[in-house]
Amino acid sequence: MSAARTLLVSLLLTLPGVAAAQDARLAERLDGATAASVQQTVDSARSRGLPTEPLVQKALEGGTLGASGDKIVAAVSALHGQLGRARSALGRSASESELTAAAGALRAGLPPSALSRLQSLRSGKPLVVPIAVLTDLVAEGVPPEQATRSVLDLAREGRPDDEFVALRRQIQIRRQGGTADPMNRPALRPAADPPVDR
Amino acid sequence: MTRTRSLLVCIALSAGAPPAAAQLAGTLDMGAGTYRPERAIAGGIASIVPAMQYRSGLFELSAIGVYSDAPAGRWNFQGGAAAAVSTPRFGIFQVEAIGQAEWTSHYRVSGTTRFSAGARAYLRPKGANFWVGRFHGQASSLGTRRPLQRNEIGGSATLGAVRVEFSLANTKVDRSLMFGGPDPRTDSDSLSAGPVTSGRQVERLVLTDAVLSGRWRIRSLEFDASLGRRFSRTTPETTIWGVSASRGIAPSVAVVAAAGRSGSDPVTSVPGARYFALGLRLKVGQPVLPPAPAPATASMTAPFRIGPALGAAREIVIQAPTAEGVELAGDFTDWKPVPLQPWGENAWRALLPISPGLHRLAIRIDGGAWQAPPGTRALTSEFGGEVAEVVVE
Repeated sequence: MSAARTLLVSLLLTLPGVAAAQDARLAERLDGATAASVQQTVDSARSRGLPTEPLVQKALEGGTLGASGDKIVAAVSALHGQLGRARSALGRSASESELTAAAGALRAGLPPSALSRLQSLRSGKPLVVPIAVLTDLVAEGVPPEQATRSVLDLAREGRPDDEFVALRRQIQIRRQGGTADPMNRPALRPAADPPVDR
Repeated sequence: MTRTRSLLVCIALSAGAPPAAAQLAGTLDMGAGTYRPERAIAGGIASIVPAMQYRSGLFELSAIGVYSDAPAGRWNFQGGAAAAVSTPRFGIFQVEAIGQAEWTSHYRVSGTTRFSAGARAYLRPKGANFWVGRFHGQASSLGTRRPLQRNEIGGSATLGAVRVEFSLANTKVDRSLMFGGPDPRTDSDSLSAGPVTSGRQVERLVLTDAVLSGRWRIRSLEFDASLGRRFSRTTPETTIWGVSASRGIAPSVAVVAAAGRSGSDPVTSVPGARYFALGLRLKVGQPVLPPAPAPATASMTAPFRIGPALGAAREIVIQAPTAEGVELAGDFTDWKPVPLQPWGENAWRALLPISPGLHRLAIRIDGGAWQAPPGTRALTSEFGGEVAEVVVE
């Protein structure tokens, strides 16, 4: 009897917890079936220690952009997988923003090894800007290997976030036909000798 | 005079550009190597090369100096400065007015000066650049002044990881003036090689420099190479070339190496030389980059800005002059459309709580399709619409 009462009390305590874990925003903005499927994915992410807010936001994005329920569920599920792979690449210490950015990089076709390498070179510094720049470069049409090399070079040299942003702009300008980094001219040509009357 | 006044007016107008757009950067190269000038003694040489560049809006100023210390106390200094004012881009078309000054100073020998002013017209289709230019000026050397004229044409393009540039520059200078003779421009028929006026030789030097150059990056090494040929009926034809490489070894320090053959300058009679040098480059400030090109379509011409934190919120401003209503949705509004308020004549504004980090958002003008804000790179959402991702610091 005592055990049954304990079980009952436990259930009563647990049910409100389950109810609170359900995201009200999903129920408000999506149809019932879609909201339930998305919630399942969110719960799965929570149980794996992955951030859940990016998944909710993805579903809400789909709702605002007028996507069908199937598309929303598929996009949230894909992001769930990408977040998992991002966490595998960056480890448990990665922030939600870093994991979200890394998921975008994986979606753009970059390999997880590039993210791991970037993290080891940045040695504790935030990764959001370098990853976002890396993703942008690939989206601009720079081959992933070349984009990765450029970003890793900056990371290796300990450059601040501003220089990653400058790299992105530099490459955008190059691809648009402008001149990039004019200060990086040929170096060290000696001054000329005096004029010679011939 | 009118041209000078126009240039000054352009510079003054450009100086009024928002200070936020101004960028200043500089480098200091220090190194040593070998130097083999034409008709002079070869030897070791040490060089210091300060350079700076300033850009504010459509105005750009750059300056470079080269101080070299040669054996036996001989030293040379070579300086150059250029100011340029560009028009805004009209589609793929842009015009630039440029003033340039170059000068040299030498141990126990008078130096040279050269001033010129002119304009370049650019065509800038995607991925390439083409230009034509015309300059007029005056050079002073060995106690005489010579008017000069330069016409140029060039192009550049990005081919994979390599940036390639080609230019042709045709220079004309009246050499008769260096002997103190009458101004040959009063007698245009005599402006060919050979004829004699008042017992003095009158000669117009005409030379064309064709230069092909490239820049590419392999891992952390950056290479530059150039190869040029001078064509002329009145001066010796020469081949000029240069190669250099730099590798960053710290955030603001790079190792640089350079070698090449610089051409003599028939305008000022400064001799050419072969050289090799190895040194360090110290960088100050961020690289000065040209202003981002104007967006291509009318609907994308308005800038988009997320300002710094104002308490718990940040100011978002979108300029949409013809819009009757602008809405914004993003992961910081739970993707609920938020109407922006009219702000001034052309802008729309909202104060919204946005945390630092990566954010995804889109705007909608007059109830139309969701799109990336102007000035951001558009991403195609999995859901078919257009969105943007921005990093908020």
